[in-house]
Amino acid sequence: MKGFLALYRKELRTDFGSPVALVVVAVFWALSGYLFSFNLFFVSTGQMVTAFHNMTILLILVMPLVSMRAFAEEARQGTLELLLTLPLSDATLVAAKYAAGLTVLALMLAGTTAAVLPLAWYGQPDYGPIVGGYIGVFLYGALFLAIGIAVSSACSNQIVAASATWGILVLLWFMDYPAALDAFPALSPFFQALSLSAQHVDFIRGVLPGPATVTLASVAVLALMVAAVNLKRWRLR
Amino acid sequence: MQPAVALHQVCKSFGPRQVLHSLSLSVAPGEIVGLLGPNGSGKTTTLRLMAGFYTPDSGRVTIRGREPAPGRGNADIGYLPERAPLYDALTVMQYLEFGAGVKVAGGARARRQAIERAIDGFDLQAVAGSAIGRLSKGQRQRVGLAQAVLNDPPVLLLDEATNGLDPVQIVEARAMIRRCAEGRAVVFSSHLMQEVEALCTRIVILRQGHLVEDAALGQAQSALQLQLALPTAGHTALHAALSGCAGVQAVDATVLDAGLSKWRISWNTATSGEAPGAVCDQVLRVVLAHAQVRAVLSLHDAVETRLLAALAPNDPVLWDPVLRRRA
Repeated sequence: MKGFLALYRKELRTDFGSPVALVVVAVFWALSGYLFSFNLFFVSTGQMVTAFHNMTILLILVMPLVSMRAFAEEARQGTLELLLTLPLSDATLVAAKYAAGLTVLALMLAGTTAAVLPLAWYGQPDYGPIVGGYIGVFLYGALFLAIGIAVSSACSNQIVAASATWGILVLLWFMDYPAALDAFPALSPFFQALSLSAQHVDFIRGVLPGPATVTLASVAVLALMVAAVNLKRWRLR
Repeated sequence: MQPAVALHQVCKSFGPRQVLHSLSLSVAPGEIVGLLGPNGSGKTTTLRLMAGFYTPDSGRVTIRGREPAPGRGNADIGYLPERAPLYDALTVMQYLEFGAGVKVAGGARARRQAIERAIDGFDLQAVAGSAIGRLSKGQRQRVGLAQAVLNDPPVLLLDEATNGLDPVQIVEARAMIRRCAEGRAVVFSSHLMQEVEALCTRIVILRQGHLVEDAALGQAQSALQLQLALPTAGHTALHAALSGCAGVQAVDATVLDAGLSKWRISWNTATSGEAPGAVCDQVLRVVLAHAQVRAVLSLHDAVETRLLAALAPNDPVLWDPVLRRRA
């Protein structure tokens, strides 16, 4: 636990010691605020569901920028050699990096709660679905982060890591297209279960459906396990 | 005495290329072992195996008699890779806090004391609050060394730790490594002969993944070799006279052209107990009594002789200073 906390603190310090994390958080806030304001003032829609949908799409764009550095940057600058020779298990390394990424994600989402203020000022929003929606968006972000960390653990270039993560996330988002076109009827349930967009509407409405939540969590855990296996691969090279 | 770190019949390959061939080596506490060899000889791979960064294909690596748990590093090892593993965005203090948080046993007080000790020991007070990215190369190396010894590990592995430093920084780094070495087993890889002579108690020479020499430095330092250009005439008498000198181990001559030969005279005073300089004087007296010296081609001594003899005993390019310069 001591090693986990030390690495977690180091991760946050290096993330926010460089401009990357600050710029990513600022861009996410700015774009979320812009899209929310646009809907509020020009489309006259003050629904948080729309805001949550936009945030999820933005997370597909920005989470790879948060995760790309996790291991790829360590490999590039030679510090992976230090990490892998410290008395830390591979699981601890992955968990601490993931926890630090989740903290950045939580900070990004926390900044967007300012959008709730005008709703509370001018109306009487139902806070239950709003909290549920935030949890749903956080779960999606957490999944994106886990996939990004798995990809980063296999790369030694952060641009390659970010690009590959974008590719995987976009593919998973549109995974249900063959099902919608009924191109492979036998495989349709499989495509729909894996599709990030198919279950998305429930999540941003704050419903958090049990099976879909378990699927999201399972894929995230699987991705983190892949990251730990990749670290082992570094040692076995 | 139980070795602090040992390799038992270790093999390591990267794809089809075998980098280490059945390497066995043990280092006792208090020893400073210089790992020498040309690029690609397996020095860094050996250190990485000891540090737990690589896993051997076959054979065993033991640290204080135990095989390290797979999938994690070892608190008994302090390791400074060739490129100091530093985070430019962190301050020196933050970096050492991270290292102490992972490696130092005990509570916050023990960690704080370890950090203070490292900062004092490596003269980092003035830069403790500075970002590592702003430090000079020498300061960065000091930070890397401070991190490596934070938890007072019994084994210290240094991969070309003085590479890229200026002469003043090299002297400082040597002093620091000597301080770090007290009571520890240190394995130190380097290309620099002076570095090894100044620091190490034992040399291990690798060639293409094979251990070709393993000797205490005291023994190695008593070895010398002289190369002279002499007239070819009087060959046999000179050969007999030199072979009869106490301590002389080998005499051979190669004809360079019609009138000139290159002579290589090697001696080792480790067993005879004579001073290497005295043998050198005697050799020169014998040579001058038999021939007119046209040129002193080289006087290899100590580790350099040992290294060249181990790496390429018959390679004319390595042995001949003129050819070496041309190459």
